[in-house]
Amino acid sequence: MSFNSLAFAIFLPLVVLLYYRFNLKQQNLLLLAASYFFYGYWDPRFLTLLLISTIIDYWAGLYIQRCVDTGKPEKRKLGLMLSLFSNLTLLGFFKYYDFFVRSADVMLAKFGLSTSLPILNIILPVGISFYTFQTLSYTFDIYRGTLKPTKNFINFALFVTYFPQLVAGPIERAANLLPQLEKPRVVNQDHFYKGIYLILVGLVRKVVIADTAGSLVENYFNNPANYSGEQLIIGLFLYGLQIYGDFAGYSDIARGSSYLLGIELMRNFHHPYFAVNMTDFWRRWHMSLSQWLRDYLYIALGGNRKGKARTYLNNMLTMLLGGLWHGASWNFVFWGFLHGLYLAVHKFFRNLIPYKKPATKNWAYYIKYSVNLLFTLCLANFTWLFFRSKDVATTKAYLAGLTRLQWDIPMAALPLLFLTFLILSIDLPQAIKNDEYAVLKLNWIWKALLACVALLLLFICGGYRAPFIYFQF
Amino acid sequence: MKNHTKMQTKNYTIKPLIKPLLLVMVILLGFELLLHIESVRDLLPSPIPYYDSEVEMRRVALERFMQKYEQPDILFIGSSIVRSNISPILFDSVYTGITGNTIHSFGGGLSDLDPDPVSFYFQHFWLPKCQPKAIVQTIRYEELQSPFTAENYQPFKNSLLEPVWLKDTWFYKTKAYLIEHVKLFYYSGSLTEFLRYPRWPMNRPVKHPIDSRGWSPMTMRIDQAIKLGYLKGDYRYHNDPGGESYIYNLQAMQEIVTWCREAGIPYTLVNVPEHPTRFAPELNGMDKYQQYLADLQKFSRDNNIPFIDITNGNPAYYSADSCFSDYYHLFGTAARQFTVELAQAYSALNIR
Repeated sequence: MSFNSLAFAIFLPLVVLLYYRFNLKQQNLLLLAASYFFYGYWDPRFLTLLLISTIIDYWAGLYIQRCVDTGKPEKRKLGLMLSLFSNLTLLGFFKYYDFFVRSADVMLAKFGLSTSLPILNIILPVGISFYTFQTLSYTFDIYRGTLKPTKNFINFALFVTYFPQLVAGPIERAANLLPQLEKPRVVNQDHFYKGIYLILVGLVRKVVIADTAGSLVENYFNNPANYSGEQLIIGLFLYGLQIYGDFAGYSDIARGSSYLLGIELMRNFHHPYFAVNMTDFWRRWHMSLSQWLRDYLYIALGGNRKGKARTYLNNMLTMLLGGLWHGASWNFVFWGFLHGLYLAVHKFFRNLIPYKKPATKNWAYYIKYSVNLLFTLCLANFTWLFFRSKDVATTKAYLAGLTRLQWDIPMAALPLLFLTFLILSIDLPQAIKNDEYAVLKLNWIWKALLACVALLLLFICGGYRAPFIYFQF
Repeated sequence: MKNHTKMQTKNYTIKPLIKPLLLVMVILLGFELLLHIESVRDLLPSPIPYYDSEVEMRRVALERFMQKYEQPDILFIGSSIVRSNISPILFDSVYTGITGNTIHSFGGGLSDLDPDPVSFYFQHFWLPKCQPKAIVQTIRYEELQSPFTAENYQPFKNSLLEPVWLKDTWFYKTKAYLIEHVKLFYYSGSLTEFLRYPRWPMNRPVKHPIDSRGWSPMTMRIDQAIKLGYLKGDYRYHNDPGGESYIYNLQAMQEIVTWCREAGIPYTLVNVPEHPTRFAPELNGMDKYQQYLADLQKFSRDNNIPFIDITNGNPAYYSADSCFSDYYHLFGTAARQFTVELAQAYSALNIR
């Protein structure tokens, strides 16, 4: 079920209304049933995968804790291995099997060999990358001793499948979500307003900004040879807006829906295009994934504790795997590699010229800030090219097209300007006030007028309903 | 566990929202009323509730036509061939010149529609919007070979209204009614469409401007189209007449004939000329063409309806390249010639 569908518009109020009538135990059962329905609405066959992942990690968590409690901590590795093996096998099979077989066949063909393994054309279960990472973090945290496992299977199953964030995150940590599921929730006026606000803003980001940009971007990436360099540059920035609007929109709707249930999910985006370097960008973009990668991969690889060269390498490896997490394609791997490279280069220069906080924010500071911001923005948007291209041939054609400059401002700049204006209208007040909910502090007339603008935009842009990009991951 | 009641979870009131909600509703209602004013709509980008922007252009033209003439004396239906090959204004003047009866016809040709989608559009769009006194449907060889039905035609699936028409339940009927009558719904996606093809003035058509009766003459000759690389494929007909799609499309035409008969509307079938390249001699083009015409004649006899074929069985009736815009649409001047010949043939049928 998609957040921008009529089905969800009926489903969410129905769940919320029932939810308010129940006690805690009933509420969790309702949310669990609703989550399974929400997921099964897309394809009920894959509910079994969810259940398998839930049972294994529930058991693994309890097993690890029992090992610690019974004074046999060395045995807890078995529980962790079981969780790792089962989750990565599920992910590996459904997401990467065909990719690895194809890639291996291409490599072996050079030596006249083949894997002799069949290509299965496996359907990727929606959200598998998200919920496997979420359950993995649960067993990791118990293994590290930073979390106690829950004994309540229903609560744990709800932690794995909680519908607002099931298919595209935020990838929640058990330490944040589980305690909220275990105690009575109160939905106060603040939660209610934040919930409605985030749902509305999320819909504008998705339906107005992302889908409009997406309908234009499609042409550029389908036939890059037909467009001038200027148009293709605009296409890249439009894709930057599309993917941001799409994913941040999803996260906003997820958090907004969850607020209506009295459960606070973590923030996934913090104005990423206002970042002033690539390290800053990854502190703001898909924060739940970058924090997951930092905590469970980068640090596990040694982080910055094993010397400078190893730090750069760890950055590269983490981002390379982060790229592969997005999809089974070399494009994603290369995109991840580039981001790893950017982070390593940034760290290298930061080591060379340590950052000094400016004493005053004078004009020189603002010029430097603007240059850094623009450079990071251009770099991030250029790198989306590798993320969006469906194959290497498209990437090459697009790169070649970027050089076909005709020194003319095409009409395609108009939608880019309009959509940029919309994004800035949402993000800039939040960033300036350093308050995501700054709009809620306006008086009721302003709020009503802004709601009208949002609703009108939703009406007149609503025709192009595209699935959320991150559903494919 | 302590009982956790409804009051404990929901600790907010929607009272503070009543005033802002009322204001929102008043403003939206204001916009809705504004969109009902024709002169306001004329300033805005065209809405796109249908699979192709030209449908809305025709709907507006038809609305204006109906204000003037109440109902079309003849409605031409079919694909883009009708749109480009038949000028209703010219047809009317020739017909009036021959018979002395003044008529007002309208062109309802829509891009890329084959017989089943034409039948679908006839049922859901043309019949509810106007009650024509007579129907003229055009057909060409390729349209009978088409595998596309209203159900599997992709542009319909991506559109707002056609998928709703396809589902015949009260829910979808209500949805279709709301989309067609609430302008805020009707304009859904129009800003996105405008941003895809920015233009000034905003209501300027994206493609194929039409005259007041729905005619869009083609303005590019075939030699120019070839030079620009628009016509690269093999345009010769390889398929023989017959087959599953062929029979299915004839059935779709049969459906229109039946509706017309039930409504007491005279129906005429017209074969349209194509570029002679299509019926290539090396692929037994002549045999194909004769068989196709024989099938149409049989269809006409079986249903007791008139059939007009101005080519008289000759696939190269219009043979000069200058007559064509591509391998199937006539260039503007040839379209005028075809319209005149069609009007002459139609007036001879003496349909009332």
